[in-house]
Amino acid sequence: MKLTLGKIHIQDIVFSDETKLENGVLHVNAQEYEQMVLEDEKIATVSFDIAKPGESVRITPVKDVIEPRVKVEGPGGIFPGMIADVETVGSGRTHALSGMALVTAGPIVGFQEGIVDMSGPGADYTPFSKTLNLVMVCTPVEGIESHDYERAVRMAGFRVACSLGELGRDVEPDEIEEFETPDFVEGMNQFAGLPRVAYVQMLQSQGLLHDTYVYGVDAKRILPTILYPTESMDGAIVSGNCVSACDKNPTYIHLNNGVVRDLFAEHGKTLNFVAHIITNENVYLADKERSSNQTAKLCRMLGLDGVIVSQEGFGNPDTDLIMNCKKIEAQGVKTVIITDEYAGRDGKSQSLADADAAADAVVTGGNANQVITLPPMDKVIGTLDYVNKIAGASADTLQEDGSLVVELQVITGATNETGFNMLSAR
Amino acid sequence: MKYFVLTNNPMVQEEVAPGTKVVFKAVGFKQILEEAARYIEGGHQLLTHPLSGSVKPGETPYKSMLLANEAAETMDSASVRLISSAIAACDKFTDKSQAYNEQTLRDLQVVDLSLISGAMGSAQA
Repeated sequence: MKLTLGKIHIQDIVFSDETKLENGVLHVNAQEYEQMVLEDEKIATVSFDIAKPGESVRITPVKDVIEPRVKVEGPGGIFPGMIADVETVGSGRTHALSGMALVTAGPIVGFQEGIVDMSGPGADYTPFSKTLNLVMVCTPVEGIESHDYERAVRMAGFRVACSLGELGRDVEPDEIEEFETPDFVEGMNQFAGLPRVAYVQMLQSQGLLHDTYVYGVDAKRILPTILYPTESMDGAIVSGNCVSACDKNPTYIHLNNGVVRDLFAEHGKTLNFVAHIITNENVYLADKERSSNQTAKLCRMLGLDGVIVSQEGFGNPDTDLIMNCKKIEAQGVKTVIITDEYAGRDGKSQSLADADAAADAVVTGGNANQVITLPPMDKVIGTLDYVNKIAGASADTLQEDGSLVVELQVITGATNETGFNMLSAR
Repeated sequence: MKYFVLTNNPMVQEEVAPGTKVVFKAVGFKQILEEAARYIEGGHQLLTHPLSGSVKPGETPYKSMLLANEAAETMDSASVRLISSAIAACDKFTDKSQAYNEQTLRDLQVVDLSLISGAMGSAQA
């Protein structure tokens, strides 16, 4: 399967009477998009704003971040099973509005988290301080259940992102990338002698507000399965996850998964990138056993030499991570696991809620309990009403001068476990 | 029914399906984990993860877990390991559940109810 990804470099976003993409500048008629969002009667109000890198702007609470894309050639459309029909995606040609993001924000539940600072020390910890952000702040109608409302905002975000992506259909991209995965037999012949490597991605799937969807299916209902690695680039995997801002995978990260991209960069050179295996992170312990058994079985069936396993979230998923690691290693397949750490504010506590000797190659996304002071910003998009309640904050988070004393947990993407973050030990 | 629900969430006590055995204790997050540990010591196997949900200890006061109804003669070692790590993890987080208003507490109860309902769906499948 081969996908050509055309990246259109977005230079600026401006509000305008007419929605159009011209010379790299995205013109947005906000009124038009407000109407599109308010088609869903569960959303009471919506407002659009623009946040640019370097500005004194804080966006909170952030729900999802989405890169607008459009399918230009080949089967299916972006976000299959959600927006497009369920045709298998990942081949043909896709255009992306690169360098920008649609950020959905606003309260979903009372304890919601997610801060993106566009400048200052907080900006160094989130990848989304480097994108031009079109922010969509929604509020719910009264009396609605939070999960119904989460779905409404999730779907509104995808609708707006697809409509923006459509503007790039006939634009000549600034940059072209090609990604190709041969079928198993062809790959084995073509790359004989190179280690066979797959990516095992664990998807957040614990329940309400902790969900991920694959071709529209709730990931907690799937058995582990195999994707071509390009399928996620067309939105086969989307986020429905509203908690754990630092280490959740917003839809943007599924579209631009760092592990997928890095494995493709080495594909045919130092390794043969065979497949993208997806599995879930359920609450019921027998589900965990079943899914990790199936994942290990798939690794064996594919004749793999090694896998990279990435986690999403903390605590409960640590158990899935270690089960996957142990069982895959037991099949004779080497593992490298990517996690993050909750090692306490002083960094001295046990980092993970589970461990095993088989987990001897570990990459960390950083300590989510690390404390940071975020200075006040000139402008807040969204609301600060929740900052004392969000994960990683405390009752005295909001200081008199308007600065916030928080743990890295609150910052969207800060310790992301696909490596899509800014922390490094280099 | 092969399991029972151990919870400190009043909404779970009220809303789980009739006929489901629910043991409700009006205690804090860490204390309900310690209560589970006592059942595990008595031979009951833990059926759900004690750190379910990315709402961390200290950030939610509520936790519901499924435990096997029948007690075995020996302790289940995996259950012991899970509950011990979960209790240890509680001390890493600042407890701010006292600061919540009614609506936030209700949201947290709904999330906990949803997580345990999903697990009960799996247990009955």
